[in-house]
Amino acid sequence: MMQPLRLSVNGRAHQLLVDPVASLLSVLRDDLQLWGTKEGCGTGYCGACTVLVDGDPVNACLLFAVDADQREVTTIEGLAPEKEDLHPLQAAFVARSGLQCGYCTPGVIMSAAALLAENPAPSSDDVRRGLAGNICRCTGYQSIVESVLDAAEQLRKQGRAGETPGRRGRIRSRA
Amino acid sequence: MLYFEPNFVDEALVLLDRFGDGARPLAGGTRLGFRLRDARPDGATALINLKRIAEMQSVARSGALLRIGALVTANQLATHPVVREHAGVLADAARSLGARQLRSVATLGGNICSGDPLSDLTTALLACDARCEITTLQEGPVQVALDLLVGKAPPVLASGELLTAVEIPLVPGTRSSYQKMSTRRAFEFALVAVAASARFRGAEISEARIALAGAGTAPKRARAAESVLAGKQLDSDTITAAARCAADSDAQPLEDRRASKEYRRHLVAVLTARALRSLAPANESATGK
Repeated sequence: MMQPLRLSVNGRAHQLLVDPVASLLSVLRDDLQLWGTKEGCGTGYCGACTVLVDGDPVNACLLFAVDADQREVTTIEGLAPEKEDLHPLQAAFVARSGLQCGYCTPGVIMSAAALLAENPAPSSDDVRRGLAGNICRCTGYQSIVESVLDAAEQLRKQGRAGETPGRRGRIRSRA
Repeated sequence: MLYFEPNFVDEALVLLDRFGDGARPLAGGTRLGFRLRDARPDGATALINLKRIAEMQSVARSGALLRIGALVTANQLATHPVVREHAGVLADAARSLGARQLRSVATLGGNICSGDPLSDLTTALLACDARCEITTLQEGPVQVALDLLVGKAPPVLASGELLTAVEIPLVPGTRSSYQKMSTRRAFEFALVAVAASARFRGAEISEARIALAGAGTAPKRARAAESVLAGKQLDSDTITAAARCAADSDAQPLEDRRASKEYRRHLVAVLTARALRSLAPANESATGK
């Protein structure tokens, strides 16, 4: 019993038919070919699949795709505004080695984006708490924290403190 | 399996009644999702997505009652100004639940109905004298004290029942606190958690509520510790006595591979004392609100 789903992903509108039981993660990857969002555990315990739904960080592996109906989803592919190569978070993770294998990284960055939108000047403890829902097996977290703090400083310097992450307000039909 | 998105409680009740044991009400879906996506059949015949039902999603204060819809998320509970002001223990417990991403979708009703023996929200609600509104097609809404639902063998609700809201009586001069001990900042259930709420008349406690998680097979009230506090000022002797009482008389702590009985009993004493200290009026000479 397929369900119609209308949602905006990274500023683009989509209309799909989905299995009502399907996760948002499977729709993003399999139907929309957005492979940046990873499946780490499939049970909501690692945060690798973190995306933003109307700005709120969620585990895409748990969220039913139908629950994203009429909503705005932001994935790692949608973080940087069109004209910019990398979002300050992405640039900071590169500069500060905030990743090694990179598998957890899209989820970490999306969580960090949500954190900085709520708290543009976090302490290192704020960052650790804010990212507690994302597990990394490679870095030991210190370089992740430094990357996020760097990015926060960059965003503040650019007058972008507290901005909502991702491409918005440029909804155009997929055709 | 069929799929429905009822817009009103009545529609949902008709569906729950129609599909009986095959009905799967969907709130946050943090557990239901991967259960249904599992290859093994689950006997589900109808997935009933509740989230179009607006009346289950509000937080409203009317007079001396705080009414919270069962679909309100943990993140909403943690950040809502009305919940933070009038039921701080619940906001604190919600903030400690799972992880930020889980709090975006996990719901109050889903959490209560999961019957988790270490549920943060249930523990906090026990210290708030919470009542659950359970609705069926035949009976309409019925108020059930949360105490009666807690400790029931799952399923918490019978087929056809819908938990629509939770109500908390508000009493001026109440201060509350949630203290949770676990080995990680996220994801883990408490080893022990203590929810404490006290009504003050001036510098004296008129009534106290203390709820414990990890001190039995389900969250429970620490009634012996509560009676130690009634009518007393919150000084270090009273706090020590109440904490000891909670640990020695009220707690029947669990023993498992996460922690021993003895350690949990110790945690009950420590966290009860911490919770009570945080309730002490900041200004010793204040007459209270």
